Amino acid sequence: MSSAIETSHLQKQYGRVTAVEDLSLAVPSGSLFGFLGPNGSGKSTTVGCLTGLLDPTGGEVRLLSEAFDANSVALKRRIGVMPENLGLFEALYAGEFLAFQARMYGLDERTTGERVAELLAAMELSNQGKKPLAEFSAGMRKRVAFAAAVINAPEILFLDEPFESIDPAGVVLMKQWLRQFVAQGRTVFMTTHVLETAERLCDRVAIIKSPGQLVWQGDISSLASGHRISIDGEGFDTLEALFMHVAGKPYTAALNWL
Amino acid sequence: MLALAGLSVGAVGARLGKGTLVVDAVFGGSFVFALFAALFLGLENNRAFSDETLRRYPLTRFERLVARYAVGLLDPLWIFVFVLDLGVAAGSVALGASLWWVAVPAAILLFLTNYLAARLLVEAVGRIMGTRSGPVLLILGVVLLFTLPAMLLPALRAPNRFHAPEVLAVLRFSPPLAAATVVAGAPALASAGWMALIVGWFFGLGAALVRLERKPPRSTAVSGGEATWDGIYDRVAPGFGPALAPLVGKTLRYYVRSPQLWLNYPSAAIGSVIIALMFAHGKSDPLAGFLVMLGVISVVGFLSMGAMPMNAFGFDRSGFRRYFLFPVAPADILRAVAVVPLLLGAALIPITLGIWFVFWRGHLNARMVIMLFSSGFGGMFLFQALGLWTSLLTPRAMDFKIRFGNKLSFYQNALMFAGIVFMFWLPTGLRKLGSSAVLQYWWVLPVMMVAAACFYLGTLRTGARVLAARRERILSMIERGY
Repeated sequence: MSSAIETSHLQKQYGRVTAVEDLSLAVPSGSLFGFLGPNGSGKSTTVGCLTGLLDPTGGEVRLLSEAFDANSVALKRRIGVMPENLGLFEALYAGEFLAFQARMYGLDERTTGERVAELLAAMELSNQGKKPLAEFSAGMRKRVAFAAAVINAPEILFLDEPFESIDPAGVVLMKQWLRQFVAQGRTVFMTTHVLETAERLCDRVAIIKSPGQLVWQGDISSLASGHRISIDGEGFDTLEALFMHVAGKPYTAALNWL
Repeated sequence: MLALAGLSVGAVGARLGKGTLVVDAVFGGSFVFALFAALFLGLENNRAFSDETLRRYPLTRFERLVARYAVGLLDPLWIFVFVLDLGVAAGSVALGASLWWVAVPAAILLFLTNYLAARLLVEAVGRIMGTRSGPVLLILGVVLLFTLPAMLLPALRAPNRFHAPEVLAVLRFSPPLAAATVVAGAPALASAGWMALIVGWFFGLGAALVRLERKPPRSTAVSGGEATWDGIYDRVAPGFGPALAPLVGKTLRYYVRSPQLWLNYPSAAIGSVIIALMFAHGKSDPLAGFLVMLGVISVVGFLSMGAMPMNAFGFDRSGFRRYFLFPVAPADILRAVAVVPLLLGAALIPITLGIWFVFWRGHLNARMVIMLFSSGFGGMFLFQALGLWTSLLTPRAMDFKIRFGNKLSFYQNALMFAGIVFMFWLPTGLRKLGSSAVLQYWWVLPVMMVAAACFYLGTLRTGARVLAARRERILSMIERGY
């Protein structure tokens, strides 16, 4: 199976601070890939490098078998991104923002109109009318950002913490879409802190720890069928146990005054 | 320096025996100046701590109120006013016109009243701007503000009509003139009465402000209705080609939805015409009004849009990161954010000149018209190019709904003040050259306009490279701000 996303010795430094170090990943096409790691481990920085927002200071990124950098305009048309902080234009209304996003990706007027109407209805945002995104709740903003990421029907979808602040019904719908998306041979690259979600949704995961060092990557689909994953001769039957083994640092501080 | 200036003013007033008149002028002037500066330039920083932010801490409503206003008082504007007021009081005491335990409390009370009045004015105008008819009301207010003094002055000077002393007697009950009476050395009993009046103003303004703040502002949201990508903005935008059209449509929406544009755009056109006509009034040089208009028109295409052209990316806030996820080149992004203020500015210049032509009674020929347009477009190119540089080098996160308040960077503020200074400096400089010399070398202005346009185009070209190279830095500067 070909790789939709490949990084080779990817590195990102901010002055003397290393955010991502020697990261080599291979994400097969048609997979739902979970990118996991503790807070501040470099997940969002990696997504930034993979989507053209940030310039890697070393290494190489390949998307859909082509070399990718910030100037790869043609490749950018084939990906969808829900970035960290969502990146919404807050003066726009939800419908306008989605239509703007669609037009930026070259969709024609008719397709734009149809997809905007469908996405607004599906995300239960049709009744928001002329309300600027600045006045939306956190969950509603996330739904808008998710809709914007998929509006161009991308071949690779990058999602940075997609389920945070979204209500359970919205999460169910989004998961259903992601499975449908992957079933069509497209690829999802998702960061999340919710290990249960990753375990149930993802085929493969990569786990990193600070500063952006890959500590494990592999297939986790066997966990769903009750099998164990062996690492260093030790078996793990949940993603949480596996994560804690390779990247977790148990919180041991005792707060006696609490 | 300011304390010394205030001290000198107080001393000179007392020495000349015209203490009340001099102190009236200084207190009245600084009072009105502070109101204007707070309203139009947003020189007050109590927004650093909003009530919303302070609610996170275990503070009572009263403590939150005090905290917000105490922070606002630390703004350089208010330090300036405080030092000046106190300096005048000290000057008056030094010359023996007044006693320190009367003059100093009067100056402090005046300062606090001035601050409350400014806060109340800013809050009230902000609320008015939030209503549907707000912008229209505000434009009427601006017109009145500029025209009222011009209309009143002849009436004050005319014989057998009401006279300045009678007007002053009424104004004596205002905080600055009441404080001036005390500081200039009114008798003890009268001073107590004037002090009581200022205290009354202080509590009255405070109560009005608290009452206004308790009333929640209206939401701008309109429920229902279609909100898609086929409005008037999108009928203008396709003229810029498929790559730029959506970006231009988006930028146009930001400008048109900004209360800053609704406040500044009409005010700039009307205000500049009134300034040009007022300054020309009574001048011996028949071309004085024309020279003033040359200066004023040079900044209309820039200052008429508030802070937006000098902080082009700051209003996008986290949206800025999306520009670099889109399949477009940085040059297109910069062109799109630059072309909208250019269009709006270019539209306002002929409108402003058109209004001025209607009222201008002096001589006007084709060369003078070319000079006016050259000054307008040249100034617009120059200042908007500089605005692009401040946008690229010192961006600041700002709320697009912001009506007042100054969260601009030092360089952005410097550019704004440079625009204001340029507006007054240009006519003064030209007057020194002489009207005939200015008309003889009329071609200099078109040449300078071409030079400014070249600078603008160069900025677009170089700026695109700077935007690409500095995007991570800009992103971090913007995201740090909210």
